[in-house]
Amino acid sequence: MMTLRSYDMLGRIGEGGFKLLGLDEALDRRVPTCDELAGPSLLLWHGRPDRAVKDLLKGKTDLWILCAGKAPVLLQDDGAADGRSHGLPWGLSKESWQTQKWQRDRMKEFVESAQLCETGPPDWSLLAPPQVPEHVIACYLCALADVLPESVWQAGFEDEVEYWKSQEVQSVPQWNRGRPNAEILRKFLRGVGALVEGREGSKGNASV
Amino acid sequence: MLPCDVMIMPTCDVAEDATWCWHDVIKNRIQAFDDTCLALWLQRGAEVETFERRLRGVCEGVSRFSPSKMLESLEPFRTLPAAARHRVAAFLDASFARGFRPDEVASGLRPLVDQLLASLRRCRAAQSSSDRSQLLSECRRAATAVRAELEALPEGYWVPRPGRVNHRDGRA
Repeated sequence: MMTLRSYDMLGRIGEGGFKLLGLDEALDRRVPTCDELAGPSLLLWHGRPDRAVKDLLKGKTDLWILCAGKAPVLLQDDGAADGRSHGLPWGLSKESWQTQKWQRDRMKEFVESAQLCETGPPDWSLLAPPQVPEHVIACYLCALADVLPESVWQAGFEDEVEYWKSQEVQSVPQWNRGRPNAEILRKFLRGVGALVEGREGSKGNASV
Repeated sequence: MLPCDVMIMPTCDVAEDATWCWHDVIKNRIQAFDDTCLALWLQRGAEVETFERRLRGVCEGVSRFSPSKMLESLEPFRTLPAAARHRVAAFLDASFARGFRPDEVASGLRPLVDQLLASLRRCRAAQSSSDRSQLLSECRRAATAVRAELEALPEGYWVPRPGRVNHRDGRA
């Protein structure tokens, strides 16, 4: 089982967040030492890895670090960590943690999966945000064909809409299994597409 | 305006190939390079061969713009009952057949592609610099014609718009 430690993540998600993740208390307020980390370990870190964290990664080869900030964290792989430090690909704050269900779901699944790992690395892919609105696309195609969407799509649909709403896409559709509105779904998807194209054209550095 | 919608995901491979051909190669190389740079580029066999292969792939694969192809890679559709899935696919195929004619698109594109690729081959084989210069100009003209056709293709899967699904949408 992978040991889970946290540095200052309380500032990101609050005590309720720790309980949701199955952690009884706010862990470490200081950088742990190698001796304190027995076996494969995952450190939840607020911010970019500093010198102390980088030294920790050098000293302990079965340590992985997830770095979170108020914006997506992009880490340069300088080779020292062998890919063992990973930036959270979405911004995390107390407010977003409370309002964005997909963030809580993903972090919970990631932590549970990591805790069940006997060796690393943790499954970073579980943290991917619901960027691809495939449930919304599926509903749109069903709306065009006059076919009812599946009720099991609702959770995925709402996750995707919530995520893109947080990215300020307009024309936000509501889940409506009875009569999905194709025109609203289309406007939403066009908004997502425009935002993605805009981002692809101007990628910059993320700040923590 | 194209009679279709752009879907950001999943990726339509023939749309990707078409965009790469007209943007990365025709626009940024064939049309942008001066004679010296273009002649040097043509000597890079592997890159030109890739361009030829992907360009021919677009000609042969225009039917893959069909939106029913998208259903195969959309995760939620795997939970849709088979009858409903077939109904959506059949509807999309029928709309596609009304609004996009792969045979016509291919028959318009193919001779222009043949002409361009023949020009590229002649350029590579040219011995004298005056022949080469003339052939490079011919190549650029042929590339411009191909680019116009490729730019008119959908940027993703061809998908009908709501409210227009029963109309005969022609290509823009």
